[in-house]
Amino acid sequence: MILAKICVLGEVSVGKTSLIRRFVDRSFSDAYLTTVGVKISRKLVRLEPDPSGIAADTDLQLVIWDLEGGHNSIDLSSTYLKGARGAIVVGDLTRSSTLDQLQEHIDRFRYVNPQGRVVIALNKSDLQTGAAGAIVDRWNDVAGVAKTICTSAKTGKGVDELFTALGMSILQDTGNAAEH
Amino acid sequence: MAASSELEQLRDLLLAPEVNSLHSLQQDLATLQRLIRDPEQFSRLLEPVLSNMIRRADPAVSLAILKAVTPFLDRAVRERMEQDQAAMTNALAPASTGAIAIHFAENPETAAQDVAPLISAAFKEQIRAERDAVIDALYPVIGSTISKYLSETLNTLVQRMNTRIESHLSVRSIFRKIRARFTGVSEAELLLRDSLWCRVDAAFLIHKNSGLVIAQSQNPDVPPLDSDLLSGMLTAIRSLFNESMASGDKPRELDQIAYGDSKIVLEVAGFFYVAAVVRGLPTDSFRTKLRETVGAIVQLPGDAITHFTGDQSQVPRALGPLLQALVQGTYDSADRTRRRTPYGVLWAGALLLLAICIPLGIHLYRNSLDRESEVRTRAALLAADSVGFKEVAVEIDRDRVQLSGPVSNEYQRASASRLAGMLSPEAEITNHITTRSGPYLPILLGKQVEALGATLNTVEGVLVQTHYHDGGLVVAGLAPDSATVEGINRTFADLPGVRSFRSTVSAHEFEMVERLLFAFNSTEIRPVDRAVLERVIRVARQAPWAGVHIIGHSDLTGEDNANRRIALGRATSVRALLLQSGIPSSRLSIEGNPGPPPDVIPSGQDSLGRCVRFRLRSPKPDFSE
Repeated sequence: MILAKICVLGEVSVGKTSLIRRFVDRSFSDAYLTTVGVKISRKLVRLEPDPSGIAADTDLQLVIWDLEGGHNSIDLSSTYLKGARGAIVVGDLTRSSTLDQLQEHIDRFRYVNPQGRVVIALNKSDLQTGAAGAIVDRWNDVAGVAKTICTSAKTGKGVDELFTALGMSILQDTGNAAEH
Repeated sequence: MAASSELEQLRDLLLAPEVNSLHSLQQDLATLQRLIRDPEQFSRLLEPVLSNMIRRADPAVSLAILKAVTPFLDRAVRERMEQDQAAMTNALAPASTGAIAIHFAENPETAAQDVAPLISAAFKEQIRAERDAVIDALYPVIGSTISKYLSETLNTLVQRMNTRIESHLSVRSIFRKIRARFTGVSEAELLLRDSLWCRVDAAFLIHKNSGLVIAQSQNPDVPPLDSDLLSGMLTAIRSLFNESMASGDKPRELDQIAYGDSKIVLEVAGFFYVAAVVRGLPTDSFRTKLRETVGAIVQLPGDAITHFTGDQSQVPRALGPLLQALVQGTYDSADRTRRRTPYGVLWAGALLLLAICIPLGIHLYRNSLDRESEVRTRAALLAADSVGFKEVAVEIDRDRVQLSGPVSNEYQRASASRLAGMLSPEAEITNHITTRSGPYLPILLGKQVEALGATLNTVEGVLVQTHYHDGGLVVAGLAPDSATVEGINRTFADLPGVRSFRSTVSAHEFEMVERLLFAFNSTEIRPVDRAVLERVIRVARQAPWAGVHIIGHSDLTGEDNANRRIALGRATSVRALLLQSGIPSSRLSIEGNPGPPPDVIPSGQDSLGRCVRFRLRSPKPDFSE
C-alpha cells in the first residue's frame, strides 16, 4: 500500500468539501458549512493495471487535506500544502469568477510542490445548462494539468473518476521516479 | 395766474391729509432705517421675535438655524475651549460619560478595537501604581481558578494513591518503609513516586511535511487510533502553531498536546517527528526513552525516511521494533528507582569500604614493618653498648629514622647514627640525641686526659698522644689490636665534659705530629729542631716495641732524582741522630720521597715540603702499607 497526501484547493463555496464527502462517505448535503483551516479525510483506492504506467493492482491510501477556500489563509495553507503529491483544484461552473482563479490556485500549489500532480474539477455540472466542453478543452491544454473533469458532488458524476485520475497520475510519477 | 393759485388751493384742499400722512411715513421710514443701521437697537428689536420662534419650536425655523449654525459649531467649541477649558470640561463631563456608554453599547466591535491597545497599558500602569489593589481585585478570579485546578489534580493523585495503597499494602509497602528508612527520602515522597506512572498507547513516526505516517506501533490492549487522520491533524496543528504562534526570535516547538488523562508527546527531528500517545504523567524515563528512540531513528542508514514517498514498504525494517519498544516500555518511575537503588547503594558501599580498607591496610602493614625495624635498631644499639645507649629511643616512619635521648658524649652520639645507618642504609637519619654534659672543671679534664694517656702508655703495645683544648679532644696512637683501639676510644670519649672527640688510634701505625724542617738543598738538622727531635726520641723510647719509620721529603724545585736523593739524605741524617740517642737500628727504617708530604700543598720552593716525618709502627709481621 502506498500513502499519498493530496490537497483540495479552490475558491470559497465551489464544493471542495462536498466532493470529498461524496468520494469518501458517498453522501451529499445541500447545507453549506465553511471549512475553517483544514479538514483531513482518507480513502483507500484500488487502482487497476494501466498501460500508461501501473503494472499491477495497487492500493493507494489517499490522505485528503481539505483546505479552507479562497485566499484568507494563504500563508498557512502554503504550509499545509507541503509534502502533497497532488492537488484537486476545484472551480464552480456556475460562477465564472471561480474559474478565473483556477490558475492562481495551480500556481500556488506548484510553487510549494513543483513535482506535484494537478487535476481540475469543474463542479456543479448538474446546475450548469450550457456545454462545458470548451472549458474542459481549454484547461486540458494548460501545462501541468493531468486531467480536467466535469463533476457533480450532488449526483456523484465524475467524482470517482476525478480522484482515480489523480491517483493514477501520482502512481505514474512514482513509477517513473523508481525507474530513474 | 389766478387760475393756478386756485388750482393749488384746490390741490391743498384735496390732498392735505395724504401729504400729512406722507410726511409721517417719511419720518417713520427714517426712524426705521436708523433702527436697522444700529445693530444694538436692531437686535433688541429682534430678541422677543426670535425667542418666541424658538420657543414655538417651529421645525422649519429650527432646521434653518441648525443649518446656519452647524458650520461654525466646531470652531465655536474650540474657541470656547481656548477661552476657558475648565468650564467646557465641566459642561461636557456629564454628557460625555453617557455618550461613551451609548457608543460602546451601539458599536461594541469598533469600541473594543479602540480600547484594546489601551487596556494592557492601563493594566501595567495600574499594577505599577497599585500592585496590591490589583492583586486584591484579581484574587477572587485567579485564586479560584488555581484552587480549582489544584483540587482537580490532587483529586486524581489521591485516587491513584488510594489505589496504590489498597493494592500494594502488603510486601511493597514494607519495602517502601525500609527504603524510606535507608534512603532518607520520606515515605510520602516514595508513595508519590510510586503513584506517578505512564503508559504508551501508540507511537507514530510522522513525515514532517506531508504528515503521512512512515511507521507506527499501537498497544493492542487499547482501541486502535486512526493513524492517518491523527497524524494529518497533528501535522496541521504543528504547522498552525509554528506559523502563527511560535513566530519570533526563538524557534519554539509544540511538544505536547493534552486531552483528558492522556497526552500526545511530540519529539521533533529534522524531517520527521515521533508522536507518542501517553496515558498518565510522562515520566523522565519515558522522555529519555523517546529521545533515545528518535536518536536511533536519525542514525538509521538510507534516506527512505528523509525522502518518504508514501511507500511504507521502502522504510527501514528496524523502525517497527524501535517504535514497538517505545510502546511496550515500562515507565513506572517507582520500578526504576526500586531496581536501581540497591545496586547503587551496594556499589557505593563497596567502593567506600575499599577506599577505607586499602589505605588502612597499607598503613597498618607499614607500621608493623616500622615497629620491627625500631626493635631491631634498638637491639643493635644495646648490643653495641648496653650502658651508653640505654636511654636512646628509636622512631622509624617508613624511610625516616629518628634517634633521640641522652648519651654521654659526641662519640656515642655519632656511633648511634652510624649504627642506625648501617641497619637502614636507604633511610634518612635524624639524630636528636643529646650529650649529657655534667658539671666539670675544664682544667681538671685536661689533667684527667693527660693522666689517662700516661696510664694507657704503660700498657704493653699501647702508645697514645692526647691533645685536649676547651672540650675538644684529639687522640692519636697505636694499640696492639682493634679491640684495644675501641677500648681506648671509649675511655676517652666517655669522659664527662668531652664535647667533641676525634681519634686516629690504630692497630697498625700512627703518624706523629712532630716534623723536622730543613733548609734549601740541605740535609742538616737545624739547631732549632733539636727539641722536636728530643720529643720524638722520648716517644720512641716509651714504646720500645714499636718500629720508627722515617720519611724524608723535598720541595719541587730541581730534578726528581736529585730531590729523591736529598729526601733520602734527610731521612738518613735523622736516622743517624736517633741511632746516636740509643734507639736500635732494628727499629728504624727510612724512606725518601721527592716532593712534599701529602698534606702539604705542593708549591715550588715550599719550606714545609722540605721535611722529615715519623711513623710509629706496630711490630706485627703482617703489616703492609
